[in-house]
Amino acid sequence: MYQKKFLIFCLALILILSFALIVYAEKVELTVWLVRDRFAVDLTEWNEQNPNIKINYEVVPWERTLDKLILAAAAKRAPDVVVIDFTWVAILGALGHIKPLDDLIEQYWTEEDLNDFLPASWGFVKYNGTIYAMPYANLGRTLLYRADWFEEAGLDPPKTWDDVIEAAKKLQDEEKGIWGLSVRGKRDDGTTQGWLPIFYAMGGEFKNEIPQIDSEAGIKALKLYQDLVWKEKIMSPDTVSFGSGEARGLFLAESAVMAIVCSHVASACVKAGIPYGNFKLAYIPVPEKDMEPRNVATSFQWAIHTQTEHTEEAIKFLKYATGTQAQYEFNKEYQQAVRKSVYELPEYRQFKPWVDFILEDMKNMRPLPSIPEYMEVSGIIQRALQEMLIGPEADPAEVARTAQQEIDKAVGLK
Amino acid sequence: MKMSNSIQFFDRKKDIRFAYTLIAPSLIVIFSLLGYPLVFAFLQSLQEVTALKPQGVFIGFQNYIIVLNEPLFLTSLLRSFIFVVFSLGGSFIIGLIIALLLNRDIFGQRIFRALVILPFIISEVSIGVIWQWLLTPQLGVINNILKQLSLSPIRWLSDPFWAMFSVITANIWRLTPFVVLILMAGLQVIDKSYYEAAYIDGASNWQTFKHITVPMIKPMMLVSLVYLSFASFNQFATIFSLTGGGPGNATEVLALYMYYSAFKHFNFGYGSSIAIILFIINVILSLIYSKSLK
Repeated sequence: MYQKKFLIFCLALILILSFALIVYAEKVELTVWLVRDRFAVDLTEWNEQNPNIKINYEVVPWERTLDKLILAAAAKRAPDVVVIDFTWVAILGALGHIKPLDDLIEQYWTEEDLNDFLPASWGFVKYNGTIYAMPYANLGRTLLYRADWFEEAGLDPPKTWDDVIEAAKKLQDEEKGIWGLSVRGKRDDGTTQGWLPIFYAMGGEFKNEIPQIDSEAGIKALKLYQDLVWKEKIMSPDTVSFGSGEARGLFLAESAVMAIVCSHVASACVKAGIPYGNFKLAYIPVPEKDMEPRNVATSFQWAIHTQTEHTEEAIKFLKYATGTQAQYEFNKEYQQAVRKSVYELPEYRQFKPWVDFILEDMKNMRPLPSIPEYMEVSGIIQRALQEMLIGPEADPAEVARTAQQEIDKAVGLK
Repeated sequence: MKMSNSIQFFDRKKDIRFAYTLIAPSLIVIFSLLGYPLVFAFLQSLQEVTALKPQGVFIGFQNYIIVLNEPLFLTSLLRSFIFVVFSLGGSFIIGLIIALLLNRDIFGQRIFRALVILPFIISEVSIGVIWQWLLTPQLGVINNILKQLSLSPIRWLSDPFWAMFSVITANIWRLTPFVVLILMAGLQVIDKSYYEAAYIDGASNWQTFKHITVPMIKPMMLVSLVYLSFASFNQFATIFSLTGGGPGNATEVLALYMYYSAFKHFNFGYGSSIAIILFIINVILSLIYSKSLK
């Protein structure tokens, strides 16, 4: 009797242990790199739905993600899933580091779900016509301005650069330390991303994705930065050292009348105690009143690394991370959602009363240059801008000519 | 006699072998941690290796020819020398003065010693961030103090001259504690009787410093100068976090130029050739120091 009970007990124990081993063996862990910790999607629902797929987040700051990703791939230690900036899609796609998703999208997404993404957002995830990532958030530049100060002074919302200069001169106050306009000028890619919309709005063109700096629009856009500091004196001479923090910080601290910054800084304004209405958003200024607004944007998206051994699990996570709820949670106080369903949520509009402007502006947007050599081109543009911002002596035509020669060399045209 | 000499010779050989056996583990660690990357960098510098051509194509010394003819490299090199000379001079002189002061029996000596060492234990990136907050134009502490004193604020990070001044100052602040530590170690083992004898003979403070202190701490001076020159020539993190090499290229020293070439332009072969040139410069400098301070 006891022998029988003992045998049954042993059998049950073996079964339980085997089951536990199988479960343990089937548990998959995905390493997910985030460019900021804010990109961490809430995993409560995910863990309930996918108990066998564990997500391990690692924050690798945006400033270092690309070079760390390339090095990690060389060392065969790449993550499974990674948040990528649009400017990295081309180089990672060219290197074969991120998986083409066209077939996987057809397999895992319904037509209805795909149609929920804003049509323009697909332009931000492609390289050479192939989709390499799932859209997540749009990040364009905008002109933030103190609408309350404009109204007090009887000024119309700024549309052209003449409007900006006139308003800045009227409203800035040297004694109080208030500048007319703040932009990024420090030597980093954010400065290029902030200037290219200005260049494009000036009438600048991209030939095969390569910005044509040595053109009338390019020279004008370079000279503009120089003039705004040294001739019109509406931008601080320290602009050349302004990173993202300083450019937005001046506006948030009410030390700038206007700022050309990422559109998500609008949410930061509300958090800083500047209610919407006291500040408003405007298109990137154009040279002439009759010109249509134009903008250049980047975006963030989720990609799967080709070194992953868990493609199916990774694609499942991508679907979860780019779903309506995840996009809403991430973008409500941060960047701009790329799903129509998010914009239909009344609570999203409560967080962002300016969404209609964003949706209109997205129609004017083109992505940043989609070329593998983008970072080198960006570095050349940064040096050109710094030369213009350092002093009034630099000749914009000469700077534009030199920059274009270096760009053409970098992309293999010379 | 001959037997005795042979025995002495073999004994010496045995001693040498024994000495090498003792230091072998350390040498293995040093060669593997430093030697392997150095050899790898050298081999990579002989190839065209980019992010888009990761396999590498052998091109001999082509990278070196391009580097040595590149105006950006030559200006970075000049900037590095300026940076090193002023950082080295500033940290050495200030470090020596502080070491001499702290070597005396003064009230709060231990507290001062602890405070002086603080910058040395802070990470380089943190130093860059601290100095950014001190020097940032509108919100920075120093410009606000200048404003309170009715003085014009200075463009610490946006004027090429002041930007170089700022990074040199931050570097001096970082390196001075090391000089203080090393020189104090030397000062404290000097027999006080030398000074007593000198004072009895009527020597002035300057004479005792020149003829007793300096010769006695010469080895420590060499160590600190070599370290300072290595640390300054290879300085990256503080400058990167403070100015990013800007404004323009005003503070782009060789280490930053190497970083941008390798990790922003993804030209690894080219970046490696700069790394090797940097290494050669450091070796030459340390040889010069060794000879001149003998």
